[in-house]
Amino acid sequence: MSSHHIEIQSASKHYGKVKALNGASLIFEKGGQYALTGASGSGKSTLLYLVGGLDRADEGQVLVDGRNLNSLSDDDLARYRGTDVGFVFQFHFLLNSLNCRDNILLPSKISAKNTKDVEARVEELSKQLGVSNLLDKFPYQLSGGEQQRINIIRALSLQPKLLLCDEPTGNLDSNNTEIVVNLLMKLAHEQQTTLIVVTHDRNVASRFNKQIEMRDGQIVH
Amino acid sequence: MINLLKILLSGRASIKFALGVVLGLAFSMAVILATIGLMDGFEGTMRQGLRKTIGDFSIYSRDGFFTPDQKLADALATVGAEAHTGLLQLEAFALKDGKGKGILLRGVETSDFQSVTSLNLPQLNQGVVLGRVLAQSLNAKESDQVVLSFAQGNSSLSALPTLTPFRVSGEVGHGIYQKDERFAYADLSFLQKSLGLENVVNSVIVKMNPHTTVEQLSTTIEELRLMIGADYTIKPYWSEFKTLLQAVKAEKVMIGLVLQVIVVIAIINAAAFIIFLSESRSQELFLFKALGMSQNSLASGMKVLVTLLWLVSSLLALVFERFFSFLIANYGPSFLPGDIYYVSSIDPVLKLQDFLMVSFGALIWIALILSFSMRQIKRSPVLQGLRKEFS
Repeated sequence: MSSHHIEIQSASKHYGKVKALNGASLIFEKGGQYALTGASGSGKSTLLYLVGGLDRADEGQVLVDGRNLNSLSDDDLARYRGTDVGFVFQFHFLLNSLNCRDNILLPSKISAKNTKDVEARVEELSKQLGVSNLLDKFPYQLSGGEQQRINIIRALSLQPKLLLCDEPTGNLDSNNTEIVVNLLMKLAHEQQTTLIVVTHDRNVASRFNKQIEMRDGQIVH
Repeated sequence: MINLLKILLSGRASIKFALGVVLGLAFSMAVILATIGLMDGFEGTMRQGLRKTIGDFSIYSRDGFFTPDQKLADALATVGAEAHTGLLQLEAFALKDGKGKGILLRGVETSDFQSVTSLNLPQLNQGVVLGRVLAQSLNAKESDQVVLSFAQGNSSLSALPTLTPFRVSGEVGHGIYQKDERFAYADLSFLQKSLGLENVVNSVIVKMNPHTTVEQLSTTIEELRLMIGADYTIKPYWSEFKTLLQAVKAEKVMIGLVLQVIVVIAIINAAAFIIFLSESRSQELFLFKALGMSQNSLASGMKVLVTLLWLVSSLLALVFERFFSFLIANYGPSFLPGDIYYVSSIDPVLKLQDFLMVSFGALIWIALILSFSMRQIKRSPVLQGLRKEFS
């Protein structure tokens, strides 16, 4: 069994005729903070979703704490997403039919985790992120930056081992970008969470001491 | 689970659609249940009416008139008969105010007859009790006089009928139109005396335990046949309308099948609702999956939802069915002209097995559609679904 937290071995992924990932191999250490960079179509988001269990590799292996995600059943993979992984998506994926508090508590309700503990954590995170007063509002009443902070709280609400962010600052101005990146790095550090951020923003990437660049579905360095 | 249901049913459109589906499904099931109940009610009313006139079965002698002997009484006791009584019945004419009606005049011992048939027969008091429709057609009321004309029996050589005046002691309803129209009752001993047929009857009617089933009764009749021999014939209460009762059973099956079309239409509505939910809530469904909800949990949530819809529909169908039955039972006579139908009124009977059959039939349809719909959701990859729904 590997001692590494996440180990990707010769992973490939095709979408039709397009080869999104082409035999990529990579290691992520526990508690590390990584920026995945590269041009559009380089395969960084695909790699992120393979690690997050949102998709499966066509070839190769994705090992998380020694478990091969490819060999997990659909239900086990769903459980892995629910308990081990927190996602911060570029487009937030918040439900307008629920208020922010209910949106944040969705993962805990799905995973049937003790909601009171999670609620206390959410209150604490909301204070840290300055959105305590927004929890009873609906996502469509918030700005892009505020929505992203709600998105981050949702991702961290269950203290995941792995925080995966796909272009978390893609829709934000520089001021909000700075705030969001600082928060992500700080919170991940406090919770000893492995942080992987996909970005094409060089300024954002430069904040991370571990940067991985991808090109044509392969790791460049 | 509650959260999932809350989200699936959020929004006015979903609630309205769900209500429409519940009402449609409930109404369709109620129509089938009421129709089946009507058929069962017809059969039940008919059987009850027949039992009221001849008990569970009648015994006739091949010689015509006969005197019930101890051997017959012993045989009846052996097969567990609870009561029996002799009847003298003959064709006659009832005449009043220039009107005449062909009738079946039955000579009975009132109390014995009532203990066998449980027909609520008024006291005869040396008079005659007329079937309800017969009394109406002759315009005969209590204490009026009617003249009955009948033959003098096979002991007399006289070919001339007797003309005997009777006071009307009351009227009786059998629940079967033809019997209400044709039956009249007179005191047995009086009739025997009038005919010169002392101590003889031409049939014996028998009552068995009220819980005796049709199958058990058939067996009992066979046993009795062996005991009393070929001199007697035995007819169960349903023999008079056997063909009709068989036809009703066949009709029940056929109509049940035809009415499935209505359920299919309602199920199409349910299918539309499930498809509507999967489409309109696919954003939520894919997000739930992305956040860790397993396909099994999702399927369980959908199952709970459609089961709830089915359960509410089934209960509502019962309410509708009771309402339809109330209308049929209370306003039935205006829809059931006695000269066309055999029974003058029907109280629809809904059997548990019929309800379960219709209701679970609908559930099977819904489950099939749901499983197809869930397969569609399962086939779409989470990531692809998320991107599509949130783009």
